[in-house]
Amino acid sequence: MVAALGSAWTTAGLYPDVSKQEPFRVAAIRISRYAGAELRVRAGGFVISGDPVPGPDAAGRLANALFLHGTESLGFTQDLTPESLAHLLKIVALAPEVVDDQGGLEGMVAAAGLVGIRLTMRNQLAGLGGDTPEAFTVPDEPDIPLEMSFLDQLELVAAQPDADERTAAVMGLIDEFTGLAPGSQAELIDRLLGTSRADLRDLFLDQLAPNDLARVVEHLDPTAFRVLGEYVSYVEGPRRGELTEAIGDPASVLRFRARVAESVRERMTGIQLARPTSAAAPSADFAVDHEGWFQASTEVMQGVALVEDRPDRQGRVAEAWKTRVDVSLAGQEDEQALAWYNSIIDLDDPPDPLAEAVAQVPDTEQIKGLLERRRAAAGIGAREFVELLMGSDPGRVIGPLADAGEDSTHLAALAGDDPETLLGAIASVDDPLPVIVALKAAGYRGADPRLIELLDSPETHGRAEILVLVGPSLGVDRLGRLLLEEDEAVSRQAAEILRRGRTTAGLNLLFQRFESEDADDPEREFLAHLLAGTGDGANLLKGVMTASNLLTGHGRSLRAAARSALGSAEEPR
Amino acid sequence: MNTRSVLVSFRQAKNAMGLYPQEHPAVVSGVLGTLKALRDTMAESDMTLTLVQGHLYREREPQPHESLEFSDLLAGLRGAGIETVTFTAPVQVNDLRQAIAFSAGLSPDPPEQSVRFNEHPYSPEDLGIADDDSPRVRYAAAMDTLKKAMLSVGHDDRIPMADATVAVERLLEVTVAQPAAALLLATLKSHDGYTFYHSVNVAILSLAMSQNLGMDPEASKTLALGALLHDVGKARVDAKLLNTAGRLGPDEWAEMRRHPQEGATAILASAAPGQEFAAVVAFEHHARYDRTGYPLLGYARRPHPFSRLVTVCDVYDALTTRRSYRRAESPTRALLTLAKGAGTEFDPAMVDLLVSMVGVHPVGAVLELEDQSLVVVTAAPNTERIEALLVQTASGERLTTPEPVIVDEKRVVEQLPADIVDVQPSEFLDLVG
Ligand SMILES: [Fe+2]
Repeated sequence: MVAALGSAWTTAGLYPDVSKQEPFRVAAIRISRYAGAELRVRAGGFVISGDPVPGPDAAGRLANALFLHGTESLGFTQDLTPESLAHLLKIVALAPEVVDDQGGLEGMVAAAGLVGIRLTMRNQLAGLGGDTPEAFTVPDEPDIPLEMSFLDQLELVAAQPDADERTAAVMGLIDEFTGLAPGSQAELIDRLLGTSRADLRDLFLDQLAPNDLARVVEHLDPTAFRVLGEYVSYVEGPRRGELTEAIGDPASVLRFRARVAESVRERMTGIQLARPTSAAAPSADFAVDHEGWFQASTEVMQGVALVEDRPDRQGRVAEAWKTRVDVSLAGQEDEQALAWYNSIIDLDDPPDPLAEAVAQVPDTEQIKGLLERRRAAAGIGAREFVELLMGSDPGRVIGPLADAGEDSTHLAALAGDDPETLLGAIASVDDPLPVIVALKAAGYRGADPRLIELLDSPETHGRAEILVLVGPSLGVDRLGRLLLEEDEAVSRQAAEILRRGRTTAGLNLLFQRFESEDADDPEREFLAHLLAGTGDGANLLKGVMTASNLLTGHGRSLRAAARSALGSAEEPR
Repeated sequence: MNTRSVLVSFRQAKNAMGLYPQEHPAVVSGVLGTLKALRDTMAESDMTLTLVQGHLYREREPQPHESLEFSDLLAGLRGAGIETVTFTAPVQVNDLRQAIAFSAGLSPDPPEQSVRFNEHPYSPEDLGIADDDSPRVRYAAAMDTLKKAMLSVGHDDRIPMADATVAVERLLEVTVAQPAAALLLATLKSHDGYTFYHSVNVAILSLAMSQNLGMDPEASKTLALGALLHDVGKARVDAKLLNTAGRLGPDEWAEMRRHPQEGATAILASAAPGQEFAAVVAFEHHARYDRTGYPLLGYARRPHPFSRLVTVCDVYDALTTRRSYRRAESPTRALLTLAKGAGTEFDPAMVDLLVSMVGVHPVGAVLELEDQSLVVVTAAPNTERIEALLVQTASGERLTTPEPVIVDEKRVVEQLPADIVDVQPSEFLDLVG
């Protein structure tokens, strides 16, 4: 159907009263067989149930024209007549302003009383509000001359499997051909002879009358003339003589050659061919321009991000962008890295994969590098970059800053009134203490419960440090559980806090652990020393020492630890 | 008849065998055509073709032009494990058919008797050391690099940008030292692997333009890297679209139009600092001077001057090459088309530059003279004195060794697209000073 529409559209442009032409009538009949189908009109082509319909270029041009008139969809009924189709296409061929002046496409179709045509129009108001401006620009389909669409039609004809129908269709095309102006005929034959599809060429020429050919020969391009000669040399039988006579009598060949020689020179002067005289001086456009080249490259980065609309390809764009930033940072080209970074964060609404990449780049290591270079005198780009990051996402900078030895007060100041950035940084830093101290220093209300929460999760980085700050506010039971943890830093910190609390319950917990079979010798030693420093604890240890029934190997090790702790408590070094 | 005609018909026969059954007329005529070419070129003697490191030798004689023009075919043969082919006169049709079928991967049995593979009658020493520095070798190297680049784009790998930069540097050296040879080389065409030849030609034309402009070598290289890689994005376009016979439909066009952004993305993902500018040329080469092309430029400026320059070279080379859907244009007609688009599609300054560089009868143009003889232009300092090679006499005889002649422009009847008269101007590279 779309092919038939395309061919109708092409033919309609050729004749004043196209509805009398056989190929057009055939196309109209073919179209009416698709009664009930509805074509959605898009710039550049037709769409049926969401899928673009492939078709000849002419169909694309028809769709464009309909689109510009504001058509949403086009369909036909069985009543469609060639006359009514011809009239429709004639209206469509008018400039949109003209059609608008005369009541719009829908109005004109109704006024003309055309039958068999179903049109719906886009809601113009909604369209203007909702559609992007691009949707209203016709895509840049190469402007195919009439003769090219003729070839398209010929190609369709050639695909026709039935030989008789094919011949009939070719005859129809030849009728069209003979109706053209001689110049257009020559152009068409010229194109036909230029195609490498010898089958198309022969299909058409084989049925063209010698005198029809003779009329165009004079207007042919020299190369086409040569191909025509070749074609004639293949033809067999009496037709060959007829053709040779029609195109090749000696006088006409001479005339032809003279004309060709002239046309070559004409063309040369026509485009004012200058001989190369001296090399043109290089303008600024062609000078070495690192800055300009780089800037153009970042614009293209942005351009690619804007134009890419498929999610899978957007992932590639994000990869490319990340590579640019990475490569620049690796080369310590911080200003360039910043420019690449800006090319994407300047976008109003970057596609998801890019937005994700922006959140990950630069990574912590790269930020550390930037911070180092910021300290150096030359780190101008680095400074700007870090400031940009601090402004947009301080959370990413605080961790590296802490690692770089930034003091807690400054970290607290950077975090402003948002404890979350500091809490978030705890996980990423080498030494979480400054961050935790900053968190306390900023005096955030509710920081303790959040820290305690973090403490609960075994994955949390810096739990021992957190424990230093929040430990005293924890209950004995809680500390007792921490005491049993495998993470030595945590369990020892918990032990320390229990000792400092000096509650009976706390000391008992320490002693139980001391006696536990799970504790190993170093831990036992450590616990014994803690206990030895408190009165009650020392008594418990002495109990172990005097217990005569503990003579097993295990008991021996307990007593040894107790003895050593008590001994060193009595004789402090 | 020569080695080239044997390879032309061999390639046709091999391609036909890949497409059609054995008894199909295309296959039969391909095999018979090869047989005829072989018998003509061998006469009564035997013949051995040797393939070493991408170079083709006939006996001990290097065949530099054929090595380049048939690099795809020869690579295919090497891929099939064929390093030498020995023909014994008279070659029998069934042996030849077997040889072609084997090379096309359609038969596991190598031929015997009058055609034989891998007898290696010549040692590498016999064949002498290949001249690694000839313009042809540089052209082939650039093409190889480009193939690798497109392969990596297709596989989502990084483009070997360093290799591409070296290839461009080596082309620049040729353009500086032997400008006429460079332009002649840029007329090399092939229907197979169009994008590769085309891209290298565009790089050479851009370099030639840069030399006419007196550009700094660094700027020339930056320009030419973009020119060489301008179409790499096509590696992500469906292969069947690239060589489609007939014109593309709207959805196929939409797919094809993605190649600038695909290329730019691939380059941005691969470039070392300083090489990223190639992405600008790839992205903008179809954007048109008036910005009405594709893709939509998200920024306010026109395409970069380098992109505009490459666009003009791109279109010139494309128009002078035969494609599946149209014949090649002569240089003059191609320039005319460019001139028509000056100010809209093309930057008028760039069109002027190209026109003044290639001139009325550019190096490599095939001219028909009044007496119907054919010459290939090798230099044209002015219209009274066109230096050329006579390749076909007035009586229609093809010369195996073309004859240097001086032609007055008044004797020129017309410029012909080289493929229509079956002339490969680049074949005469060695005869150009
Ligand atoms: Fe392209």
